[in-house]
Order: sequence, then C-alpha cells, then structure tokens
Amino acid sequence: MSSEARQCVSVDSRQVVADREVRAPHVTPRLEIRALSRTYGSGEVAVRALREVSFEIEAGEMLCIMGKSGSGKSTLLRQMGLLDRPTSGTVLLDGIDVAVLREADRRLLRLERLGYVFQEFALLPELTAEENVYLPALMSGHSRAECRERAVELLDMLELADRAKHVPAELSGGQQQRVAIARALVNRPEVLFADEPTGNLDTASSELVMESLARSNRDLGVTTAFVSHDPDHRRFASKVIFLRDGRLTEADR
Amino acid sequence: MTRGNRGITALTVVLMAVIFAELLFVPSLIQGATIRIESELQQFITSSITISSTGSNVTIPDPQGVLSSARRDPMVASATATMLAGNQISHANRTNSWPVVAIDPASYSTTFATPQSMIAGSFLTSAATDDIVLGLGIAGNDDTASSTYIASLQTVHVGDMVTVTLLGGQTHVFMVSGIYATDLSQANSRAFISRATADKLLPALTGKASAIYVKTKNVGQEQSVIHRLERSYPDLEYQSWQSLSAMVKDVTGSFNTIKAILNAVSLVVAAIAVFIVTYVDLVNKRRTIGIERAIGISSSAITMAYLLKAVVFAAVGIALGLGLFYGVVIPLVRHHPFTFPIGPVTLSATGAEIRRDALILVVVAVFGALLPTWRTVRARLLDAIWG
Repeated sequence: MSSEARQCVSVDSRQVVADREVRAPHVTPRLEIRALSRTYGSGEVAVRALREVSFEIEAGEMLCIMGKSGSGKSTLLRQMGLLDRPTSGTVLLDGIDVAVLREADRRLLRLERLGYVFQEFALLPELTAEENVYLPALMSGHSRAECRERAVELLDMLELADRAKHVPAELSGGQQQRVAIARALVNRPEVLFADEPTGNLDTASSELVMESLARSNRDLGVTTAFVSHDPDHRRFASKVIFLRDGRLTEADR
Repeated sequence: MTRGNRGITALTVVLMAVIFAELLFVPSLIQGATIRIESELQQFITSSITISSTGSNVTIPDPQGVLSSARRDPMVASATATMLAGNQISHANRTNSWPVVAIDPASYSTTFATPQSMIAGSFLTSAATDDIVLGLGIAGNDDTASSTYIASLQTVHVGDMVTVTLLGGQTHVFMVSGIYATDLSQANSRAFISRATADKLLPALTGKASAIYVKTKNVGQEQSVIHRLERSYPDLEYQSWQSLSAMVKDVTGSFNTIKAILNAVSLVVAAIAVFIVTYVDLVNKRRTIGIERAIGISSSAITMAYLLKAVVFAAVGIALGLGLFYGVVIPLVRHHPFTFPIGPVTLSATGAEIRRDALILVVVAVFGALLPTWRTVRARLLDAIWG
C-alpha cells in the first residue's frame, strides 16, 4: 500500500472526505467490493440476498449491474451506496473500508462523495426542482448563492433550465428523474449510484435519462454504477456484471 | 426545510392559541379576584396602615400626635382615629355582639369608603347625636337574601331604635340613621357612632383611640410611611394591609392550587396535541425523511426542522392567544364581569405571568415534537425509505 493510500486508512470521516485531495489517482480501484454478503432475517426465514460478491470499479468507469428480479442487484447497490450495511465482506472506497464506519461518517460520505438516484425519483414534493437539486449542497455548508448557481448549471446541462421553478408534481417522470440526477451530482460526487433509474419511465424518457447519466460520466468524470434489467442499457456501460441468486456469475467489458 | 399541510398547521396554531388563552384566563381571574378582595379590604377594614397599641395598653398613647405626624407625611392621603365604644347591640328580642366604633365622620370619610356604601339613610355627622350607622350584617334590613341575614338583627331599618351596650356596661338607645353594605361581608358587621356622641356618653374615652388608620396616596408606600412613623412613635404596632390580609391568603392559596392543576392539565394537552400533529406529519413524511437521510442530510438537521416547526406553532399560537385574550375575553368580561361573593370580578394579567406562560408553552411544544422526531430519525434507513 503506498504511503498516500496508507494516509487514507482512517475511520475519521473528515479524513475520508479530505482524502479526495491527497489521493494518488488510479493507485487503487475507486470502488472495491470484496466477498460482500448480505443476509436478511435469521434461521429458517433467512434470505441470502448477496453471496460473497467481489469485483472492482475503476475511476471513471460506468458499471451496469444486471440480473433478474430478486437476483440482488438493488441490495448490492445499497451496500455500495452506504444505504445498508453488509452482513460480511468489505466495501472499499479508495482503499478505505466504508462498511465499518459509524453512521455519522457514512452520512457525510453520502452527502459529499457519493450520489444516489432512486428508481422512484425520491424528490421532496414541496420543493421546486432547483431547491431539490441544491439541498445537499446547502447541507454541505455552501452559501445559498453558490448552491443556486450550481443547481442552475446542472439543470441547464440536463436540459431542464426552464423547469427549475416547478415542483415535482408539475414535472414528467423523465424530468423528475433528471432532476434527481442533478441532485445526485450537485456536490461533485466521485461515485454516482442509480437504482433502476428508468424503471418507471417510458422508452423516450428512459433514453433521455440514460443519456444524462452517460453525460455526467463522460463530461464530469463521475464513476457510475447503475442497476438495470433492460439489456439495451448495456451500451451505456463500460463494464457489466451479472447477478443470479445473489452471486456474481459474469463480468463483461 | 419542507412546507406542510396548511389545514393541519392552521388547526394546530388555533389549538395552541386557545390553550394559551386558557393558561392566561384562570390566573387572571384569580388575580382579578385577589385584587378585588385586597381593594375591599383596604377600602372598608384596614385602610393602608393600621396602627394599634402594644403590650398592656388598650389605647394608643397620644393619638393626636400620631395623627398629626401621619397627616404631615407627604405619602399620606388621610388618617383617622377610631375608638371601640361598645360591643353589643339589641333590637326587639334579638341581641348579638358586634363592635360599635366611635369615629370622626369627616376624617373617616376620607380614609374609608364606607360612607359611600350607604343603602339606606345617611352616614353620621360630627355632632353629638344619638345616631348610629349599622352594617347590613347587623341591621338585616329584612334582606333575607343576604348571607349574613340569619346572624343579624334581621328586621332593623333606618329610623328604628337599637340598644347598644357600651364599654363599662351601661346601655344607650340609638336611632339607626343609616345602613351600609359592602361586597365584603366581614366589613358589614360594624356599627358607627360619632366621636362627639361617644365622648358625651363615655367621658373617660375622650381623646383616646384604640386604632389609627392611615391611607397612603399610592399602593407600595406603606412601608416607607411606617418607617417614618416608627421613628417618632416606636412603641406602637404598625401593620400594612398586606400583613393583615390573612383571609386573602387563604382564598388565593386555594385558587393558586386550582390554577396550578388546571395549568398542568392544559400543558399536558398542549404537549399531546403537538406530539400527535408531529407524529402524524412524521408518519406521512417517513419516506421523505428517509430520502433526506439517504442523500446525506443529518438527523440533527431534520430534528431541528421539526422542533423549529413546533416553536413556530407555539409562537404564532401565543400571539393569536394574546389577541384572543386581550381582544375578546377581557372586553367581554369587562362588560359581563363574573359575580363572586366579594362582588364583580374582572380579569387581570401581569406581564411576568404572560412571559412565563409563553415560555412554558414553547418548551412544552418542543418536548411534544422531540420524542416522535427523535424516534423517526433513528429508524433504519431502508425501512424509512422502502417500509
């Protein structure tokens, strides 16, 4: 392990966040999953959603996780996105095992280094599109002016500038999901996770959303991992893995 | 952080307003009753200061000197001396013991409000006559509705003759020249004859006084006046009306217990109301809160948002409650005062009580919101988002 990587081995969240600046690029994979398992329940009703899954995502890659319903795709994404804790195994973000961090540190990582896009958009219904986008930035301590500027920039990039002042109820599904993507990007995350981002959308909207994800990966360099059951979405990914009954069965570039 | 349902918000604020107005109502009623009692006490029984003799002295040495000193004091409005002249009154076949007090009508009229409380006849003059003024609690006046009727002489009216047993044992017949009645029943059981009459009937009491009453220009000046009089006449007993108001303390003590219980109940209601509103809001927003936590918003920020909402509910409710209290309740009671045994009572609230109750309500609202919020933000993240 390089001295710089050794610097990163710390459970202090501020150190984890600050490492963004001191990290040596490409020394370690951006995200490394090692023997990750997740079991729900116990005894006879235990459900083994993930079984010792291992793989890596390099910086700048766009990973597609595919598999049938119930294969563990969303469970895997939630472990990677720090929404849940694995039963065993490790999730290394730039060499740091983030699975063992305490919740306050994980929250900080979710806010400042990761982005998450939900299948159901998950926008706050009483806030406008612009407010939904800049809320995480506001929580990170940026000024309202800076937050608004960043939100406008992202909405413009995703061709939603004219919808900025509308609440989610006034947006189409595809527009809502693109707002959700903008929100996930507002704090300049290193990794973005998208769980079935087009699951509730029609074909045209799906295409727009996937292109938005691809643009953020390509133009902003955001490492991306998304779950999809649509084979057509493989073309957006630089790497594809397949899950079946909680196990990694295939990896493809 | 998030806006809410307007209807629920409005209802919660109205509830807080009503609770705050209710928190003010009972104490202000008690305060009004207390003020009423204290006012009656000073106007008819104790004045501002009561001066009496100490030790084995039955009468005050040099009462004229004391009166002159008191009247010279810049804080004194008036002063009067009284002398107990008799202790039993009879009429027809009824007899009972009541104090018969010899007064100087002129100075008594400026120190007490008794002469303005006549319900029949007129008050005394300074001349030596055989007139006597009776309180309704002595005369009765055939007023069977009066609470003191049973113990009174019952059938005495203005113009009737009553027999008074004077100090020393002799009796004298007086004509009732006037009957007075106040709202304080204690004050209605006195009889008055003029000083001139008493001096004529009891020459040994000439120039003597069993009590001197001093009326200050303003409430709160009593102790200052007492200190100055004590310097010249240290061997007398000086009591302000506050120290004499044992009856008031008994009444207000009971009222304060009732007030404390009612306030506690109101505050529990307020806490439960805020708890329920917050809980329902949190149940409806459980998923939203889960998403907020998922995208990195801290539990403390979410909690603070809900506590702030509770503070706003309370603050707006307090403002509305104050408006309701001062704009509706007080004017209403002023026009239709409550009738207590001591007379009509209106509401009286102090700034200190209002501030205290407002602060307590805010704190109660915060605690009412804290528990459900704390529990919600501690829920497992995945359960919060996906149930």
